[in-house]
Amino acid sequence: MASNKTTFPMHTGGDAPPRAFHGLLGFFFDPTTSHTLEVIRIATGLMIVYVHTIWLSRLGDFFGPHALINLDAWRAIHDAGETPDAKWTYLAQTDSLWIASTHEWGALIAGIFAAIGFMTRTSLIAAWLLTLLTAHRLTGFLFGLDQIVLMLSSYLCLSQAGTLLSVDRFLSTRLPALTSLSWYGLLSGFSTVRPTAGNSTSSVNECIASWNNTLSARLMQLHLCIIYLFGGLGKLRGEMWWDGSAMWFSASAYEYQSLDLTWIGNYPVMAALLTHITIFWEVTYIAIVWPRWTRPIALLLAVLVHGGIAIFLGMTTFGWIMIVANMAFINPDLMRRIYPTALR
Amino acid sequence: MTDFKATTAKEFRLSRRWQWLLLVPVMVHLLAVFSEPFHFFSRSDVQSAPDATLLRNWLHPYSQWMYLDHGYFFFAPNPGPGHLLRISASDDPLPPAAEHRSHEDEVTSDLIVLLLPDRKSQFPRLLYHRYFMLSEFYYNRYAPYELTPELSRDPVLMQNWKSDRKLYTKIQQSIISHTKNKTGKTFVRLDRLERALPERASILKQGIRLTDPQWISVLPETMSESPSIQPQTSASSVRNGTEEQPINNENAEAIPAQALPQKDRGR
Repeated sequence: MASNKTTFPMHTGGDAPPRAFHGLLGFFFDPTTSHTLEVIRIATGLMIVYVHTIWLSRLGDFFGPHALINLDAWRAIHDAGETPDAKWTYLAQTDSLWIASTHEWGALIAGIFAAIGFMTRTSLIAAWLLTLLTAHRLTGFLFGLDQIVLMLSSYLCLSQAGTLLSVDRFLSTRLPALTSLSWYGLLSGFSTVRPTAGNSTSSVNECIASWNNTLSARLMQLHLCIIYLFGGLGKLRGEMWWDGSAMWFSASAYEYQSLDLTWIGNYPVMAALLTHITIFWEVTYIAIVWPRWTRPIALLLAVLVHGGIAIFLGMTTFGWIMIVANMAFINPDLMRRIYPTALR
Repeated sequence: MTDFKATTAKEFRLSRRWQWLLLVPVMVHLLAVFSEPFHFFSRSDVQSAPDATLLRNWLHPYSQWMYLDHGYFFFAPNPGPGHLLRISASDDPLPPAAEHRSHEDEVTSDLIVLLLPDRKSQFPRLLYHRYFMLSEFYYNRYAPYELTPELSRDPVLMQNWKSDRKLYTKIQQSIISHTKNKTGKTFVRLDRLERALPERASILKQGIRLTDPQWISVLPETMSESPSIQPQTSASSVRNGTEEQPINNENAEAIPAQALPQKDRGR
């Protein structure tokens, strides 16, 4: 089973999306390692912890009989459309604050476990599901952060993102008797790297390449491309993105402002240039992120745009999680260079 | 890109048959991801594109429950003004929405005024942003107290307005009920505020600050721009869970936002 093929297929055949069906299968299912996904898992887990900490900090505003959006209003919102609403959540069946509190604490703990990689598969599924059910209940309070956190956590559930930087891995080396138990393997999703009888040491030190990781990363990448494509197309409809004034009007939106960026108005050429770079980058992201030589440009611009949003436009969490999502395009073989030698 | 090669990888590969089987739900999922923004973009005043609608309706239950039903309109089509929600609570009856005067003119001694969002009292930033999203959500669900006679002659518009107004009122009542419970006050009034986006010269040459009250306006609850036909009791002033009728237009029913032409929404 030993192999030296752990890179994304895009790196082995000239970076263009595959044309034939077999190429398509390889695109989604050729095994890769989890070096990149591990980092995404840690960041997403921590963000889930933070999100639920905020819900818990003002629980009575968001849940319970006196919530800002109570169950009566929630039902009116979700029954308003012509077609039945599928956003079912048990949190909309009861206004018990105790249940909501238990749910949020559960989600927070699941997020911690996901971040540290303890019983990774189970904690990822729990963190995603509990966050999803919370999101369905809290209509009206949500924004892009929730969309991206749920996107990343759902795809991470498919991966083997707990095989390197995780408590599960640590336990597999220190307590092989525990991690070789079938129930532990089931909870951690770590069964594929459990030490095999008589070969425990060499097994755990091996680097695992699995089809799950490729599928997970591909879904993140394609989902991100769709987000940017429509995000860019939406901006194309607005004249401010063409006349170069969008940067100024974003900077002067006080409700978004975290650091004063209005000085940019003194440099109208720069403001217009940044506006145009943003829209051209966003619209073309779906094309320039795949070829090997343009990918660094696409990702660098992503860091600059989302870093700017995080620092100046008051959406630190959203900016950071978008940067994390863009990491899905980092080749695991490149990412493994920053890992400790033992985990390469 | 890299000459680095893993040399000790253990590889787990799916059989071709499983790959083909898995490819089907993967493609359906990606189609669901695509269908929602595609449908969102494919609407006009004339129609919703039939192909986009068909695709979206087919996958909608799945994409809804998976929380994929988004248009991804971040700062699009243009950066817009910010919307705030001012909540006034008092033991005494509150005067109607003060569109043309400052809040300091209110003459109630025990007045409590809450603002959503408010960066002074809502920290950390993510908490602030949650309240900000609520005020934007409330603004987007706005439906005026009544339709103009011309618009009310359109039965489709009228029907849509009724359901939108019902929804808007439910949200309004929910926020009022929350505030009454939180403050212990009897009377609550909600005002939708809008902070306009200033021109560059106003800030950089005239030195007006972004926080200057001149950028803030109170949005009306009726379609009329004329203060003279504002209801004497604000549509947002709800008491005992019942929407009070405007004094000068008792038989008027109000109409929801989605039913209205874009130019008539909000303000």
